[in-house]
Amino acid sequence: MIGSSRSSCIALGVFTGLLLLFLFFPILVIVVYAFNPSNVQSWPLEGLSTRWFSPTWHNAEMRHALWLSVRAGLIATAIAVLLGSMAAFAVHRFRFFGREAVSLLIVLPIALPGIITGMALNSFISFSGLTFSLTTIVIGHATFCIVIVYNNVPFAAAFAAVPLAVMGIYLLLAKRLGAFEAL
Amino acid sequence: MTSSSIAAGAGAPRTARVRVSAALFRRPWLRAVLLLSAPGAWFVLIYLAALVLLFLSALWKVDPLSGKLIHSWTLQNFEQLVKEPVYRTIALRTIGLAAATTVTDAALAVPFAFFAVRVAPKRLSSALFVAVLIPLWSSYLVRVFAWRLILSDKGILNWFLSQLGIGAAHIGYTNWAMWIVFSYIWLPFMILPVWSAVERVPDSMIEASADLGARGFRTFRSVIFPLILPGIVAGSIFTFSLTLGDFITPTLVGGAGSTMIGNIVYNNVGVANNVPFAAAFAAVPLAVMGIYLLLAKRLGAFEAL
Repeated sequence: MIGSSRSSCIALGVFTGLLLLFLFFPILVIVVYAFNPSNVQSWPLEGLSTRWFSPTWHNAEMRHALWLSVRAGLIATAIAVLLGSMAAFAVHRFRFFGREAVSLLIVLPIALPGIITGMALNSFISFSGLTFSLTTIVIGHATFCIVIVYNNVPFAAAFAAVPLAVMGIYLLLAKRLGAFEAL
Repeated sequence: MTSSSIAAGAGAPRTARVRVSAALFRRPWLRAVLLLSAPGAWFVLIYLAALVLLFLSALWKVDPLSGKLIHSWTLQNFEQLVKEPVYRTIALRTIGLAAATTVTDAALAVPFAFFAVRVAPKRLSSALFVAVLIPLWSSYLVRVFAWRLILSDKGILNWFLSQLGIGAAHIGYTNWAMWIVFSYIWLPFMILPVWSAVERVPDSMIEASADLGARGFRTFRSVIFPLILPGIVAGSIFTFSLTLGDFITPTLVGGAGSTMIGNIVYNNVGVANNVPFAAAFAAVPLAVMGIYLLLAKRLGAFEAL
C-alpha cells in the first residue's frame, strides 16, 4: 500500500493469514475425518485408519455416482463453454438493441436465488413430460454454468468440471461416514 | 465490386463461402444475431419459460383431496403467505441472515483483497488468488458438513475451548452456526469482484491523497472505498442471493428455529407437492432480488461484475 505505515501492512498480512486459515481449515477437517476409524463424529479421533477407502472404492453405488458426475460435468461444461462463449462474444464485440437485457438475462441464474432456478426447472421439466435423468441434470447445470463462462471465458472452462467429479467421491465418502443418517 | 464478381473465377463452393462471409462482413448485426441465436434459444426456451411457468403456477392451487393442480386463477397462496405469521418470521430470518452474511463477507474481503493486490509481492498475490479459488473446487455440501464437525457439541471447536479451560460454546445447530457457514461458503464470491475493483484503483489517486496530507484511514474512507464500492456491491449480489435461496445449510447446521425460505419452498415442491404455494413463497426472494438488482445497477455494480 502506497503512503501507509509498515505496521498497517503487517496487520493486513496477519489478517490475510488468519483468513487463509479460515478458508482451508474446514477442508483439512474433511481430509482428516476420512481417516476416522469409527463412524462416531466426535473429536479427537480415536486413531487413524484407512478402512473406509477400499470399501468406498469398490462400492458399486459410489462408482456409479462418480461416473454419472463425470459425465454430467463434461457434457454440461461442453454446452456451457460453447453457449457462454458465443454470448460473451456477441455482447462484448457488438453494440445492438437489447444488449443490456441480454446480459442481464444471462446473469439471472446466479443473481436469483438458486432455489428459484432449481424449482422453476423442476416444475418445467415435469410439466413438459420429460423424465428426470442425466439429460435433465445436464440442462440444470448448463443453465447455471453458462453465466460463469460468460463472465470469465477462458478460466471457467477448466474449473467447471472438477468440483462435480470431486463431489461424487465426497458424497459417497460422506455416506460411508454416516452423514446421511445424521441428516 | 460485388462479392459475386470477385469470386467469379473460383469454384462454386468458394463462391458460396465468399458470399456468406461478405454478407456477414457487411452486416455486423447479423454476426451478433447468429452468435446470440444458440445461447438465446437456450435461455428463452428453457430458463425464461421455466420462470414464467413457475410464477403462473403461484396463481394456481392444489386440490386438497386429489393433490392435482387446478388451473384457475386465485390469490389464495399469497393470502396464506401474508396471513400466517410464521411465514413472515421465516422471510425476515432469511433476509436478515443474507444481509448479515453479505456485510461479514464484505468486511473480510476488503482487507484481504487490499493486502493481496497492493501489499503482497507479485508471486504471493497469484498464490493468494489460487487459494481463494481452491475451496470452490471442493463440494459445497462437503464444506458445510465440515462445519458441522467443527461446531457440534462434541466437535473440534468445543474440544479446543476445553483445552483452553473455557466452557463449551453451544454454537452448533443455531442461527449463529448458519451465519458462520454462509459467510464461509460464499466468501470467494465476494473476494473475486472486490479483488478486481481494488486492482482498478489508480496508484496516482492514492499518491494524490497522501500528498494532500491524508493518512491511511482517511485515504481509505474518502478515496479507496468509493472507488471499490461497485465491486463490493457486485459481490454482495452473489452473497445475498446465494443465501436467500439456500436450503442445505439450514438442514445441516441449523437447528429448530432455523427454517429458511429455501426449506419451505423445497418441502412444498418435494414432500408436500404444493407447487403453487412454493412458487408464491419463492416470489418473496425474487422481489427482494429485483429491488436489490435495481439498486445495484444504480451503484454501477454491473460494470464491476
